[in-house]
Amino acid sequence: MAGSYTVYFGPQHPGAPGNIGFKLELEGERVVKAELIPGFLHRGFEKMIENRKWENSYVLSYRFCVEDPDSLEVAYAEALDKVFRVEPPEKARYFRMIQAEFSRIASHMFWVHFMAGSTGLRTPAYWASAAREEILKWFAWVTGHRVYHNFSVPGGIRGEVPEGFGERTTQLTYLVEDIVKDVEKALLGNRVFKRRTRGVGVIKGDVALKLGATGPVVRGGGLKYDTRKIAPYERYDKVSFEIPVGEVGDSYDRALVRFREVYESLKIIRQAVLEVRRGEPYRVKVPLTAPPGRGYARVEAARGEYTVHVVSTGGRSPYRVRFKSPSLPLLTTVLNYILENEEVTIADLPVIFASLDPCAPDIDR
Amino acid sequence: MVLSTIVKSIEYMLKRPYTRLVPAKSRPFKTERLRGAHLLDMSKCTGCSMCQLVCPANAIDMVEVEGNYPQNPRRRFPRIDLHKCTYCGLCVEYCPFNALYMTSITGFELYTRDKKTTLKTPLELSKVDPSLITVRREMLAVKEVKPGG
Amino acid sequence: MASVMKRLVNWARSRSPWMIHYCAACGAIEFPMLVMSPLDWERYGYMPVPSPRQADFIAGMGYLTRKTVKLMINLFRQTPNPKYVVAGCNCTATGGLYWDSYATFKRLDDFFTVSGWVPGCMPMPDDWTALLVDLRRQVEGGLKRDVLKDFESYIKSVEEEERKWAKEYYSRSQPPVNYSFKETYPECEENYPDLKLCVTSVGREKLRSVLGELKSKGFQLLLNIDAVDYPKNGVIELYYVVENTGDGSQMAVKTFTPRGDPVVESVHDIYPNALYIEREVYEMMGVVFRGHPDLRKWILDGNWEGPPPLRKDVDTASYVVKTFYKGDRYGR
Ligand code: SF4
Ligand code: SF4
Repeated sequence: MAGSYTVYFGPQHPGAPGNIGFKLELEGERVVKAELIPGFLHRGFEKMIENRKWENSYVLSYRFCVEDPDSLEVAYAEALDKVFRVEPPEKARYFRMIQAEFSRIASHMFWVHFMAGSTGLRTPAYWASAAREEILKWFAWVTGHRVYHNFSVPGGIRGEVPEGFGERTTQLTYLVEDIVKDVEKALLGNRVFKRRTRGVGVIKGDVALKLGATGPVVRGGGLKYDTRKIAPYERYDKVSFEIPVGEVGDSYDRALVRFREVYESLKIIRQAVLEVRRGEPYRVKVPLTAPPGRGYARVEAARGEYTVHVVSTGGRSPYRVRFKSPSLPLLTTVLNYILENEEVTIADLPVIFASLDPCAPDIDR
Repeated sequence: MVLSTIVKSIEYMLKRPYTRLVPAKSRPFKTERLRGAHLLDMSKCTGCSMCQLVCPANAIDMVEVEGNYPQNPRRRFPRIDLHKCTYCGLCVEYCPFNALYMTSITGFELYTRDKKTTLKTPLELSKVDPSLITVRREMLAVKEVKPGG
Repeated sequence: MASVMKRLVNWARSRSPWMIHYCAACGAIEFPMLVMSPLDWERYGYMPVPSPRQADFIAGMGYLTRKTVKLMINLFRQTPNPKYVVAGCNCTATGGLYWDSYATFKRLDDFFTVSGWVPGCMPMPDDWTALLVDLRRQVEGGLKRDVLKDFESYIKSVEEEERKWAKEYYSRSQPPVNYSFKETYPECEENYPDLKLCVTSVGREKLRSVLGELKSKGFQLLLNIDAVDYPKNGVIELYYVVENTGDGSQMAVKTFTPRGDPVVESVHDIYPNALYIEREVYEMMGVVFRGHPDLRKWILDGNWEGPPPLRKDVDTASYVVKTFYKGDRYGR
């Protein structure tokens, strides 16, 4: 056909969602098909974990989604709890929730860079980076590292929480809430942003689910679907929170849902902090060899449902560990569904990428 | 809406800057339990190789050193490659003799033009300033032992 | 006069080093902190630029998968002189935590000369400032450009060896099937009520019809296909994990395929996202999905030429130690 091209997009491109490429088929300005080219971040985690031992395999477990590592850390720790048939102390359960929720907020704040960058707004990105920085500083204070925390381990959490944990954490939630409110106003309230995102990348929740997506993409499409509610893990059944949903399912709704989620996460943290007290037991010992069996965990991460499937045949190492990534359907089936049903131009493409918020390393593993 | 953002921006401009100074002058990023480079107490280490076994990054190997160490007759001590270590702290946690510590030394002090300098011999590891110690074994090891249920 | 001019040029250069905006690996996650609010590297004149043709240096931020290294070399070639290479994170320097990964190269200095290393896993943004200051100083002092080393024969020799291994692997005969399997569908074989998960098993001939039936019952979301290899029993187990979008309960449909003939029917017409998951299982485990329109290497393309790496009898760790560390697993 006249005027149809094939163009390679990414991975070295500021609009690309991370280190990942696309082969785009264009008709004039319109993108008709996008074929994913992954593999730039492939390390072979599932193989490497088999080479590690039970006691140090968790160091690898969370590294394939760097933006949101703690959801995976919690998921892997929980799966190993099942393998070893231990019950971590209550305090550890609540702490894991705090960790996962802070990680979700940090991840959503990282997403603001991406979303604001692709719509041409720099200011909210700067403010969001301050919110993220505050959270990472908190992590460094509690766990000893900013990004890779190594704190949720099989059998509980790794150490005692520091002095003044409750007050500082609660204070932080209010500080973050203030910043996030500003960011929301500056981003969602902006006319340019509304024009760029309203009606762009529409997908309904039930359609997205059928295509394999979970998380904010489904909730933005108006479906109340969240693993924290339908199959509560840790102590999510003991705290009260809402599941925010959008209406239309366009990029704006997904952005809105992410901001609303941040407020719900902060609510969860404030409730969970009350249960984490210094001096209570935080960890039970797990043996060095595991009994044969199966461990399985499902958690709701910032991008959707992660599942971890651990197969043990006894011995010192995991036999097989399999992770499920929520990002893979976003950039394949969901993206192509949007391209088929909508006139998407090249200029809209980064906006759609950003609003789907995939995590590139998590596709490649 | 845009106006309120501008007002907010001006407000921020009048506040104290959020930007940190060059860390050479102040080090606000170092926290009390930061996991950084190691310190080895050569008067406690018995050369049991536990740290070598537990290290997920294979950063530790055992080397022989000169000198007289009564608790360690084979004089084998861990050598740590700080350019391989992931700073997980497992070696500190699993050392049965409390010989390893972590300090607040991170990439800022370890920055180098020559990669060879970050492979630390036991002697170099034992000469680190003990006042920088951040992580000790008591902070990580399990205190409460309950049978699995 | 000439030397004054030269010093002036060096001074000017050191005040505006621009980095190629290429977020190569996990170390990039701390870059927004470095670029934006808390550390604001524009104070030092640094800036990320999208195009390599305007850039001065390229940063290796983390593990170097083979595909990424090839791309980095391309980018480096497009950058005008003088150009520099710097490295952060441990995986760039020695392989780091991923010392046994089959898909990464271990050292950046196998490919480039490197002007500065920031150790850490991952380095904090403040750690990077040590590099920023030092790179500026080096450039002002008249740092010569970094150059490409001879990399082509190296990459080629590694890939050649893998191809040889793959050939040898496929010519090996497979162990006989010695595996007990009982079909339990529609009953659960294992039940985990707290996770709302039920593991059931069916023969591979009936897999398609069972999944079709489950889908009409409300299990509309295919989460994953998990493959577990048992060389001792001569089989590969497959778990199709589906989720009921009504109540959130999950069903893992277990089936198996002999290793000698690893073929199952594709289910991509029932679950559209199976198209991509099946492709991944194919390249990682060597399971062939009959009826799949486009079964090819995808994630491993350009990363790995050897036999399916996730099979249990493929020992990638010792291969990596042999190829990249010259046989010494503590080497660097
Ligand atoms: S901190 Fe972790 S990676 Fe580093 S030497 Fe110790 S065990 Fe190995
Ligand atoms: S440091 Fe500790 S674990 Fe390592 S060899 Fe010495 S005594 Fe053993």
